[in-house]
Amino acid sequence: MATIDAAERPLADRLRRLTEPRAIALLGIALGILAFWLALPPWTIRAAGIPISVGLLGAFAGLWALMRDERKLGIWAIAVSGLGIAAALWAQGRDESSLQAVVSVGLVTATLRFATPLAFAAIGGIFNERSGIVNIGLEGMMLAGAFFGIYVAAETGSWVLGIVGAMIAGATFGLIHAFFTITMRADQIVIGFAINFLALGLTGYLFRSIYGPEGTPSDVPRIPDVSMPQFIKDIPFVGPVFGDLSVMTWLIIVIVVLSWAVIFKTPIGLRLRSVGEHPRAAETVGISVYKIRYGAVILSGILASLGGAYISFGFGGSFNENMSGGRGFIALAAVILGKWHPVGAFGACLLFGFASGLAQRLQGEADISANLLSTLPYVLVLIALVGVIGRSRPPAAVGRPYVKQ
Amino acid sequence: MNASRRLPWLALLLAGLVLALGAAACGGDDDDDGNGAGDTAAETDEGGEEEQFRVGLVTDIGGLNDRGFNQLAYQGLQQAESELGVEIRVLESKSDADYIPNLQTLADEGFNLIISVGFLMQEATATAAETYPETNFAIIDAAFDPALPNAQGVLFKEQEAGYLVGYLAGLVTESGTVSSVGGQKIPPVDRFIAGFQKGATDANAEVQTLNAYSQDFVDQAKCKEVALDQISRGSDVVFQVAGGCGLGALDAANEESVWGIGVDADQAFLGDYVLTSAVKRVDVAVFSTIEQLVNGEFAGGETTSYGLAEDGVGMGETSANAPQEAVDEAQAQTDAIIAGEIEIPETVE
Repeated sequence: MATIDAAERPLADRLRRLTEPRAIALLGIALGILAFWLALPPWTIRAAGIPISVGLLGAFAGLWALMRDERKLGIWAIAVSGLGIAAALWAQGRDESSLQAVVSVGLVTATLRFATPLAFAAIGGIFNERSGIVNIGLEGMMLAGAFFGIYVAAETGSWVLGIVGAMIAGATFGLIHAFFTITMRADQIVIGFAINFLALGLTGYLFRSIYGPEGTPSDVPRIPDVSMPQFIKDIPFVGPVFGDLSVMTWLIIVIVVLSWAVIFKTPIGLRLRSVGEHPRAAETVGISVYKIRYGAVILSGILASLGGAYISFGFGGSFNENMSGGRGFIALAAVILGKWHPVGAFGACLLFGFASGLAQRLQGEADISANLLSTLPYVLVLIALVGVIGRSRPPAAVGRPYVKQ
Repeated sequence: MNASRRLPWLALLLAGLVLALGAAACGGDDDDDGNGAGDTAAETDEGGEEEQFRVGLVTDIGGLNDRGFNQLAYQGLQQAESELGVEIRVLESKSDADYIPNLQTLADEGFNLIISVGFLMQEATATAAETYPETNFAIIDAAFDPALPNAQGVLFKEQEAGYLVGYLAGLVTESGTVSSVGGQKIPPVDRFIAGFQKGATDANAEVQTLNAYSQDFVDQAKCKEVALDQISRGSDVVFQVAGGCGLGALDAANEESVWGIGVDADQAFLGDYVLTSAVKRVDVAVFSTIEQLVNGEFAGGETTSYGLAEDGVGMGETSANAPQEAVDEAQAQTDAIIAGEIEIPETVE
């Protein structure tokens, strides 16, 4: 039907062609080049914000096209835009003793640090959504992991046990969520919110009654960084970025790859997806819908709590109330933006992390209000969500309780 | 079928559990006050049949355990309980949507004075003060415009404390760059930063100052990122002005082996890397405000300002590793500020 309509109206057809993924991707490449060009003579724009915003626009166009199966050109647009921004910044910093270059390396590490906790929660979110359960409670599960992780670490003096403690807390919250949503078939959104409030109240109360006004001890064992051998640290750019990453950052990279393999390449992943798409059919062939869903939700709790552990005693060194600060919800957005795919979601987390790091660094450079700049990551995610939503399709059975036959 | 019939019952159970936890949390606060309450009763008895003043405190988001602002306010309140014999109650705001309900709860229960802690609660408090003309209100860090007869604004001259720590920072910096991490661009934060920058450049005209805002008062990771960025740009003294979030900035200073400067409360206990703290005696202000009420001198409709001269702000404990002559020199600025010889800006350009 749609194609016939388009043929009858040439103008509409032409407009449609302009918004084709291919055209958008080409536009993205052009924008990426423009970003660099603007920093060069004859324009020689010295405000860092201009090439960056132009380049981001290009990268976004590429991402948009990428999501619509225009893979090759889409990736090119993203790559060119990224290079365009980097090159533009380099050019602008030329006569300022390469200050900008230093900042850009810092920006990459900051991006990874912002993205790490988000990605843990997002991968968790993918597992439960793929099994057909919506988990708004990721936020609360992160918070629980943050508190119980640092509590166990402080009590035992071991960060490894702290991580185990966080995982147990996350699994417990996952189990509560699973029990009410799967066995009791309660509304998944409502239970998710209840989980968030429960975690907020519980951690806040315990934090105060255990630690009092002084807060968590300052000598809490921290999740260490992985220090690379010196010859790697000496490689320009690679060294400063990957030389001292947190154990958790490496772990999430492994988990992203692993969960991609599990979800798409193993029988258990196939079962997981079939339960999320058509639970009735899955049960007919002998798959236990309840077991798969319980497993997925508990796993999501564990992963989210690892993200929380990174916030409280990985990157940070102490707990404070509500310290997850909405990351669980951003992770949910990343799940959708990444189209329920681990690699896509990780990319979305990186995008958000990059925008956060950028917004923070632009404060000093651009003459834009800090308040306005701080909305940049959220605006970017909103735009990305709106841009992608047309084609992104959640698992068919998501959010619907399943009644065993 | 069975399961769906069990559901309402379970929902109730869950709701009950949440409520019980909430009650337990409140109970926790009451327990802390257990001893104080006994003393209070005794004191009021001595004073005859006079009415017992009831003072409520509504905190900003960040909680009582922020090791700074809210906690200091609570200390002032506790001091008033034990020394002035008033009955106290604290309500914490978990989000800005809690401001008005919290204020209303206390006003409806007939509290004589309700103190809001934090600039961000200014509008909510003004609304509450208009709705409850019989109740006295005070707000820390804000003034009422237009003035309300039953409400008192309590301000601090943060710029004076900021100047002192900035002066010290300007003396000890080796890289020639010092920086500040603000929570949000709001007047009380900017007064600290403006004073800090002026102090640093007065101590050493060559000093460069960096400043950025984390846009958060809770999330440590954000402040730590801002601080790490500043340190990578050469800052070797980081002044946090972001409450609980700012602990992340101090953590960054610790990690990168540069100086950190605390804010509001004396944060020297965090370690020797804390050069000093820009102390804001919220406890003094809260106590003084309650004292006014008890003495029948509550200055409704006015704005009270606490500076160095009133012991409302100051420089906290200095690190054992800080060069003594620099500390002495910075402290020597105090008299000049009190005498009004130094003009300190209140806004960051």
